[in-house]
Amino acid sequence: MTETTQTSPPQSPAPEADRPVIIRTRGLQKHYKMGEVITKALQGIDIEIYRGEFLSVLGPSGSGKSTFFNMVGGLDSPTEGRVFIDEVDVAQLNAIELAFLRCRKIGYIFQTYNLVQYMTALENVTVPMAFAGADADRARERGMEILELVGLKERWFHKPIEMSGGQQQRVAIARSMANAPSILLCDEPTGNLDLQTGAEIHEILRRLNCEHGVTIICATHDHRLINIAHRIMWIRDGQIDRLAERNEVTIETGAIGGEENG
Amino acid sequence: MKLDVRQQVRLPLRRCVELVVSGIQFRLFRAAITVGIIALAVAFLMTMLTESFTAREVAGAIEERVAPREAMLTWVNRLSTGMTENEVNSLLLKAETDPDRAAELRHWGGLDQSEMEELVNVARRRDFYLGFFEEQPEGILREMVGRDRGDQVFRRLSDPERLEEFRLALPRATTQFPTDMDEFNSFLQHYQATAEHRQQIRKGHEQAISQLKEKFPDLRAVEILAEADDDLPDILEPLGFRMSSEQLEQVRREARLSLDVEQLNRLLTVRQVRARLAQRGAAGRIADVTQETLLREVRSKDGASWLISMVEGLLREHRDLVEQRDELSDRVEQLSEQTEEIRESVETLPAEAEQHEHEEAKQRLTQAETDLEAAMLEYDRISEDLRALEAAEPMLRDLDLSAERVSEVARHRLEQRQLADIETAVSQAAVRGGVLGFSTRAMWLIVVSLMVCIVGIANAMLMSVTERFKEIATMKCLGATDGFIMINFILESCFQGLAGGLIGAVLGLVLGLVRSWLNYGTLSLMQLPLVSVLAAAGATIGIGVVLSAMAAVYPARVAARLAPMEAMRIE
Repeated sequence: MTETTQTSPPQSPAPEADRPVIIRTRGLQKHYKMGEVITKALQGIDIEIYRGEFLSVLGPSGSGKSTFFNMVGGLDSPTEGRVFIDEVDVAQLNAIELAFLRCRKIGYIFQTYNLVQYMTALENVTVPMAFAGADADRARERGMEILELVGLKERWFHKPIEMSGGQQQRVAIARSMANAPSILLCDEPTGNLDLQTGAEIHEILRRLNCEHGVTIICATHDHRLINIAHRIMWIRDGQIDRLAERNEVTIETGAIGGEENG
Repeated sequence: MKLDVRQQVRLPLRRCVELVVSGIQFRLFRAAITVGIIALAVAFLMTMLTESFTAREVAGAIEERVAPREAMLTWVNRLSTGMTENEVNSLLLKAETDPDRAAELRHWGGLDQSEMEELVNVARRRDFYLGFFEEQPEGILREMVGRDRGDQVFRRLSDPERLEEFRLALPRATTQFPTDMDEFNSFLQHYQATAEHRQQIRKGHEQAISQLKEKFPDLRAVEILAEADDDLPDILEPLGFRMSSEQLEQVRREARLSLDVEQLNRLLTVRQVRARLAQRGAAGRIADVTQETLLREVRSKDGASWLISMVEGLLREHRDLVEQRDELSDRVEQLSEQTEEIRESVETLPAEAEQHEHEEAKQRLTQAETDLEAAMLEYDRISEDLRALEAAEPMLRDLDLSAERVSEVARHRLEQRQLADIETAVSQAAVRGGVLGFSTRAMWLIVVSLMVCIVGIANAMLMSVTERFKEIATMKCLGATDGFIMINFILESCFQGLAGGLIGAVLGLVLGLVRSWLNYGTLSLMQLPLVSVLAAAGATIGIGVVLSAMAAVYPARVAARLAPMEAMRIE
């Protein structure tokens, strides 16, 4: 993880307006055409996400949360508006450059883990390194390092089916960190886990954010995950409903109080 | 801090193969459909190829094996029957390469070297023109040369009027006439001019045959050959026939076999022999007993000795019957004398004799008459039995084969028959023509089977892609390029094709061998063209791999174009 440590600030200070922006969206719109009907999933989103920030995204299902994720993660192209990642317009990139971006700059964590079933934990972790062109020996070495980071070094030879959900998600996190990306996109990372295992995942994410300076964007319903975020963004009907610093929001156990509180 | 975005690395093929192989054990079971389809198609193709190759080899082997018998039959024919015009000409063609035949022809025709050359030349050209006429359909042929066929055509066309007729009809021919008219004309003239020589050859040959008959007055040609001493070639030479000593050896052996088979066949004309064969269980009814039944029965040593002892038994029976008949005939004579005496004594009995004496005498007479009648009936019955055997007796007595020879002859003859059957089967398989020995219909079958195979594989692969949407999308999120996904699927299909191809090739080979074995017998296994069959196996496996690769193109494109955000979808 030396690389990341060098290029990122050692600690994540409170976000300030003059901090470097890593993702910027401008008038982001996405329309889906389903037969005659046009669904507007996103209707103009402008946001700046800072380097080293932990941003939680909230919103009911169908609010455009996932679409926003796809846009920011370079998985889909917007109908209108732009996404800049480190001031690079994603729309300008061709398919092979996009693959490069997804391989090294962004890590993805899915609610359903999406591990390759027939590979061991270590093999899963080394897949992105293989795509990045690393040779097999180096990839294994580094894979073991990252597995150690998520506390699964001893279980490297297990297949996903032999592991619990929490362990699988930890392998998935390790995989997303394989090429030391500067952005982690998490889509409901604890959605399929119980509270206890969820907490473990939170801790890992927090550590990655604090110690490695990885920018984390996290869609979630889990209030504890909101708790460790620097900023929280609410999306409703494809628009930013509200954007708040963590300390502006009060969270009560079992409920999100921020909305009433302002 | 600026993000620098470059081209994603293109993975080397070796790495792709490694990645595919790592997943292949996991998926091989799922790939059973693809593997199965490929295996079927390849097995089908391989079966056809194996059969076609073995059939071709078998055809060659048969020709070699029947050659001695053919040679014997040819010699029998030459020593006993005159030649037709056609035979003279084909012999002339043979004379080009066979000096013995050339010498024979020159001897019979009394020809010198240049006359001989001229004849051969004409024969070659005749062959060439005949080919043209044989290719024409009947209707057009009639228009060109009327009802004449073969050599008659050339004789007919020597008439200038008829030639003109032919020339006018020629444009209707289905194939180009091989030469121009001048050349044909010159051939016709030569043909006419040499006709006399050919006639001389035929006459000379016939003379030779009749001289041979004088030398061996009571023998058929095949008997001459079978009983030939080593000096037969020397006897034949003054008559013009040229026979080498190796040929004599071969021909003599075959002729003897042929005579011995004749002996066996003659046995079959004896009703009792047929009845015994049927009794032995060789055939259901006496009417079902054929030459084949006999041969099969006596092919073993057991059967052969049974036959010999059965024939001896019949001869013994015959002898016994003759004895019994003679005895009976004596007895009948004796009885009739006695009866006569009694009758006389009855008649001469004085009328004054006692009543009971009369009755006694009458009784004795009746008794004697009854005895005589019974003896005569018995005699008739035995003569009847004897008559049935009498006709067969010389044939039975003539059988001079040992048990070993009987079984040898039977085995040999059966093999020859089998070879003839196989030859029919092989020629029906039409192995001599077409691409790789396939008929057009077989070709179509193969092409269609391969097309169906492609569609089936494409379908199975598409299913596999649909099943793995999430995995593919995840891979794309992790940095897989479209190209990698595409190559990944095509490679996977290739591996399945390879597996299916291997299975299919082995299966097809076994099936093809079994089928050839059923059709052509053990000969096909002895003649297995190993190199061609292995090459065919390699080629069919290659076809399997290429087909799977082709079939995977569309599914792989579907997979490659999949949007990476599919990975986010939750089922």
